[in-house]
Amino acid sequence: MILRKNIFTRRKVFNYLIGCVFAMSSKYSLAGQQAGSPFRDRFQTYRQTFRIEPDPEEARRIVRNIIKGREIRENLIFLKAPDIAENGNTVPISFGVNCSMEGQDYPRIVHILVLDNPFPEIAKFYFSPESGEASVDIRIRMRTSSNIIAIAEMQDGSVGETKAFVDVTIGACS
Amino acid sequence: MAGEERKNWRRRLKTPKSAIKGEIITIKTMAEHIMEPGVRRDPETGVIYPKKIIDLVICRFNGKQIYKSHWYSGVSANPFMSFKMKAISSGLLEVEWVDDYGQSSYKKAIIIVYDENGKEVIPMKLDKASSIKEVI
Repeated sequence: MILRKNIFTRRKVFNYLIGCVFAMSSKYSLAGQQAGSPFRDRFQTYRQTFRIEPDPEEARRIVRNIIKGREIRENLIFLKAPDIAENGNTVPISFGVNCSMEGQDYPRIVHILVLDNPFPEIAKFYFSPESGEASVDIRIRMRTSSNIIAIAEMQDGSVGETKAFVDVTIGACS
Repeated sequence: MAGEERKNWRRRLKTPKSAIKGEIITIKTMAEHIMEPGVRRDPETGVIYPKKIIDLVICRFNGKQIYKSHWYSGVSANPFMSFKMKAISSGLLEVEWVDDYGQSSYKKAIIIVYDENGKEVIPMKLDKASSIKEVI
């Protein structure tokens, strides 16, 4: 009588499962990465992120996701920024929205984006009719000289957009 | 180190003490905070400093939220922000800064609003005439 060995030992099954899991995880992680670039966490969920290079296509994709193909109203939002900023760590900017702030005529959200920053989103502002006037001053960081984009989403669904170019001599580390 | 930690908690809020009804007033806020973006390295050891930013600022007037802003790591260190508010009635203004670790810090101010006759506009009904300072 031939003693037949059990093919499905516990060790073999365990190794097979580990191999499957590793193959699946490596497939998904490699699919998200581009060749030669470190992992980019655009959603800023991690405490430590590597110094990564800016990706203008990613920034344009974020802008497209905010506008969603809606028509852009002219002269709705105006943005004030300096032409030349010596220090990129503090660039003072201010914006305002031309509206009456009554009924549906007020901005729900105003987005500020810097296209050539590695993390393009700077801030979001939520207003209400009690605000009286939708105008805010704030100081931001910029790594290189680039365009600043301000997008206003009104309560009735219309969208306004402006751009301003700022020349930065010493960039910030952001 | 303890001194630096304490420095991150200093907040400033500047408002006009009194206003006329219907006037639009400016509120200036400033938080002393490092706003660490999570990218900078220690020059000697090469260790990345962990991210620590203020990511939410809420402004309430008499308990109702009138303005809110979400911040990301692109806001500069010691963030200054000024915004507008319409003076309807006198009351208590509260500004709250929330860390991305969930710690929040508050600053409050009382704004007294007068109408054209020089009488104070009180937000709630009272039995006898009094000032908002006595109510709060």
